[in-house]
Amino acid sequence: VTDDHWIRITVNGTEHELAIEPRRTLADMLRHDLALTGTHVGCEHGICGACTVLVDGLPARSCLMFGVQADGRSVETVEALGTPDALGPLQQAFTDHHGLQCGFCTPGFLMLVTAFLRETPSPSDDEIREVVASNLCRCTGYQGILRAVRAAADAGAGS
Amino acid sequence: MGYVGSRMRRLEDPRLLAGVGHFADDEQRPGQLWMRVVRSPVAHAVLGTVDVGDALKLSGVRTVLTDADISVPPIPVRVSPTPSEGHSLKNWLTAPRVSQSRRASSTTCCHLLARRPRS
Repeated sequence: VTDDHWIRITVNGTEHELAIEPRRTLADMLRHDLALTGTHVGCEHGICGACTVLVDGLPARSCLMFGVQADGRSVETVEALGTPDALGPLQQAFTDHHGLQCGFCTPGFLMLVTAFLRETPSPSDDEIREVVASNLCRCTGYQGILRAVRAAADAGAGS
Repeated sequence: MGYVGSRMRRLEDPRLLAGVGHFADDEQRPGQLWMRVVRSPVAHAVLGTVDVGDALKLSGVRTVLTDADISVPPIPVRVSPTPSEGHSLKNWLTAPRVSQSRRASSTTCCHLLARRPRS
């Protein structure tokens, strides 16, 4: 049961070759094998969205994918969006508009919204509400998140 | 304009937004074990016995604990909004009740695996 598989994966622009147990989730692979602990595991069954990353540009629950399924693919995580000293525009909008409190769900929201704004650079408020409803946040009540996404979109964060 | 009523910039936001916050699951210490809680797939099933033999054989597993190994005191749950002495508190969903009544709920029929991270 522990036969490792060699996979090749690009994470945040860097290519990695990894020996991975087939039962290892993509989330655990990112966190344990690549030390990218910005991706958080909440419910571990696809409900909460805290583990959302982009796989070939599309948002995916990394707790519902095995690492070996990401072989040959390109993955983006929150670590690609900016650093504490140089936040990206979406991250800046989240702090400007109080789109986070404890911060556990935040990386998942940021990745979800990153893909959304690339696809829909000028969304309506209803479209923002529908997309943001994909993930769970227990702190903010979502109003700060909605304002942050609105502001990021208006500032051209998706273009 | 003073601080009252005005928005305060949060000092913790940059690290939380950049994915470099530190949560309990990010902790890595020498000799650290990982625990898995296995719950009953059936609510209020009758708990017979828990066979941990196969679980103990798994690579990296240090121990398997069931409710028989852990002494959990009764945890009263208030089931009525109008408290009358001794009536509104029921010992639901606790291990002693499992052994007393041989009933298990989804929160009580669990066995625990402590294991190494890479197992």
